[in-house]
Amino acid sequence: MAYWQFRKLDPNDTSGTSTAEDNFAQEETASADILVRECIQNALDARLETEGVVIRFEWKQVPRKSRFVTDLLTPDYFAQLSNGRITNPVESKAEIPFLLVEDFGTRGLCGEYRNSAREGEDQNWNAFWFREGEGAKPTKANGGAGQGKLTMYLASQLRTVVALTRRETDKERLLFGSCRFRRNYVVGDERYAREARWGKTTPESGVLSQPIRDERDLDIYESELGTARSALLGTSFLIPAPDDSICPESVAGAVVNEFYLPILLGRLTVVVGDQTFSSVTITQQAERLAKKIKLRASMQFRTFLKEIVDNQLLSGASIRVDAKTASDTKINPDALDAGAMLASRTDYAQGKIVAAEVSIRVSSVANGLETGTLRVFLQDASDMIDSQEIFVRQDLAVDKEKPLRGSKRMSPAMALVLIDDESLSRFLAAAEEPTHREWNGARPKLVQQYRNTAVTLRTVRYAASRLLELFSPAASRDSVALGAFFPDNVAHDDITKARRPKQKLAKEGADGGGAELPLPIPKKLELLPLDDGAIVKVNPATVNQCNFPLECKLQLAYSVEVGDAMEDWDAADFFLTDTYKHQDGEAVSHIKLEGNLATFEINGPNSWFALRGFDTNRRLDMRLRFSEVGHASDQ
Amino acid sequence: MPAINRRTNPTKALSIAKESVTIQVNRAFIGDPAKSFHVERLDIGAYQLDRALSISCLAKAGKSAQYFSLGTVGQLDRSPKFVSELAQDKPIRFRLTIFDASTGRIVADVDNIKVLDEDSDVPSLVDIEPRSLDGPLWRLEMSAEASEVKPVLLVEQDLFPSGRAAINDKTFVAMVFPEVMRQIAARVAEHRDAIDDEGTWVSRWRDFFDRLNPSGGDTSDFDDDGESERWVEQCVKAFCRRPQTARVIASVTDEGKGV
Repeated sequence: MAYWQFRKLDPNDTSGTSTAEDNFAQEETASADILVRECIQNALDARLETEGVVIRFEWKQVPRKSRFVTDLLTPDYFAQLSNGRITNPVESKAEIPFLLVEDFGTRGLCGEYRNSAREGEDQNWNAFWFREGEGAKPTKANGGAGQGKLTMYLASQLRTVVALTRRETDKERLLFGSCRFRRNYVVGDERYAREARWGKTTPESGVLSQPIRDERDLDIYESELGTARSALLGTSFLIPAPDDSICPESVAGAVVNEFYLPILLGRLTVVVGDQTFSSVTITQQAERLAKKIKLRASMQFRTFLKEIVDNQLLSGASIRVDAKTASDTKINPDALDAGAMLASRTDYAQGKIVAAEVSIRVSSVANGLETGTLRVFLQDASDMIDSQEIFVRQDLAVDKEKPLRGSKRMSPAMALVLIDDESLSRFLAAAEEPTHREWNGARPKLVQQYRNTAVTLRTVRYAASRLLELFSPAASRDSVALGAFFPDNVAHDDITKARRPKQKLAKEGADGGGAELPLPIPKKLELLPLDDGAIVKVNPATVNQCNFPLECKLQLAYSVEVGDAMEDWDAADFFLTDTYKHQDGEAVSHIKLEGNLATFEINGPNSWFALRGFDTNRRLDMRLRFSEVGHASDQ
Repeated sequence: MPAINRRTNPTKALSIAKESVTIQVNRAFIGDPAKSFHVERLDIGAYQLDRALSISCLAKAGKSAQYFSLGTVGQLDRSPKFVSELAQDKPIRFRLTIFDASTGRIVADVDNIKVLDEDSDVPSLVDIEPRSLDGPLWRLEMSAEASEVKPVLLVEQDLFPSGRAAINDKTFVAMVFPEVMRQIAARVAEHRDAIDDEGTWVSRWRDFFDRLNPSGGDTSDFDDDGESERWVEQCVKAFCRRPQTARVIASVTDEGKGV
């Protein structure tokens, strides 16, 4: 049996709207992007060391009369939704839509579930259900803002999330849910807390709601929901009535936009409906998606990332920049290995990818001075309008950081900055906004835990652009850059003419005594356009060479500006059997008119065939094919 | 089975030589992969067409197509047109149709028009070169008018490591290029005899000014300095009205207005 707990507030409790949700009010980020980012990020943080992570997004329709829906979406639940001013979009539906987000190869929501006061790195159950703004994730984790579950509530039109988890620690299978109202709300003279819990505990305030653990109940629910959980470790999140914008296409686009590199690296596989995004399929999937939606990374940039993954990651970096040199505003090339610099400049000029390892000082209050490293991969992209770049911290793309793009002085390039190092990753995690898309040097956690944060952050941000200044070719005169503004059209015409294929002249040989060029072979029939149609006649010059009868096919169609007139002919334009007069001279036989095609046989030198009566305000295209009947070769 | 193809022309529409028309294709805005086009040149005087006849343009890319109205024979609309509905991965081809708007009758047309694409490098009448300038951020160097060496726009290399980097800076383009135009036009006006001397850098500007100068004034007609100054001013303004320049200037002013 399952119950909802709607808790009444103590008279001294404060009410108000959550400001945490504002962190996700990003005009430019769709719901699908945020949801995908958070779900996958959480799963990667909880990954088991021995397994690859798989995440599955599936849309289900679950019958209202099923045991699960009956137990979850109860009448008192809907009544409280109404009290809390949450619209109910599934009121009259016979089937309830659910979005199922399942992760595999992960630890599940571990930790104490009988005591919500327990805290610590291993207390993910409490951190997910009973904490906000704090992360229980270990330091190597991608996330840490403790706000991931908010995105799931926002993704549900009922602001409800249910989770079925199989835990690594005790192998237990637990089912629990929560509904998050926009604010604490009033019913009569009572104020209710904005979070309601769903579990096996009867609805008495003050008693911690417990997850459902009954194996029979869970088996029934799993069967009805069609989850793939059963004995596999990890968590299945159930989001009832998902927002309409969260559909397979938007989720697939978000997967490619947010996690292209970790999927390519084989750290992650994502299944969206019936599409699988793995290291093997991601390239083709992205190409396919790019035809339907605009992806953040261009094809050129995706190719750049693939080349890095396939050929560059395992090779050592060609350039090494020590911490002191890296922190200078401009990297002094004399501080670097001369041979490596020369080789890298040559490679860059030839369009190859250049890799550098950059050491960066991190001054932590707890651990003192540490040295972190990051890797920078660069490739010339001067044929592009703008630079393309991405920072990837462990598996998370910090995609709003674009210092290269903002630097118009640089010739466009493609850049990947990879941060796998733990100390630097911890620093940057502390600097990240809750959405994890950009760094902010004023974040409270960063300021509390580190010193000289501005220098460290600046060094990370501008590592790629400072290296790019070293690789860019020496300045030289450019004769075409201003061609769009001051075009030399005369020179352009000369170049165009020079590019035309040259006529091949025959070799000069012995004087053959003035041989005459052969005359062109004339066609045996003539096709003559008239103002209102066409006429086919025997070419007088070829009468003696004709072997009658000549089998003819004459096709007509009004001219079109786009496409092929014959292919685009439509019976609405005309139908030859209707009103078009055909006329013929002597010895024309086997006349057949159908659609826009006339077939006939020309049997004598004076034969002719005409079709007239077409619209004289329109151009008419015509095509004649003919052959000599009884001869093996065509005309 | 070979085919003979023909087409009727019952309305006796004229077929305009495609060499009479040039269309320039550009990026719509710096940083935007979308394209725009404008009619760079339309020489149809020899066909003696009624100035009231309408002109339309059909842009085709693959199987996609988009129509544009280009005004009339007497008043051609040269403003940039944005090709928002065409396939972006196919080359764009153009067809112009001149017709009587009252009856719909096509009077003349031309297909497979020559296109100048910004993406394919058109040589420039002015080179650009980053250099250490020790103070000013840019300078235009022009040789003696009898020389064949082109003018070169020098830019401070600490600011722009390459010519293309300078082009990417729309504020630089908007502020500097009209002044480059002014200095060159002034030099050409001052040494207008050289424009007919083939082989000089000045003579290579004849075609450019023919297309640019709306007044149609021949530089050899100037009677005094006042006229030549007015001509220079007209050139600068006409240059700023050219679609490539106009869009950059508009982009900078819009940014300034917070648009």
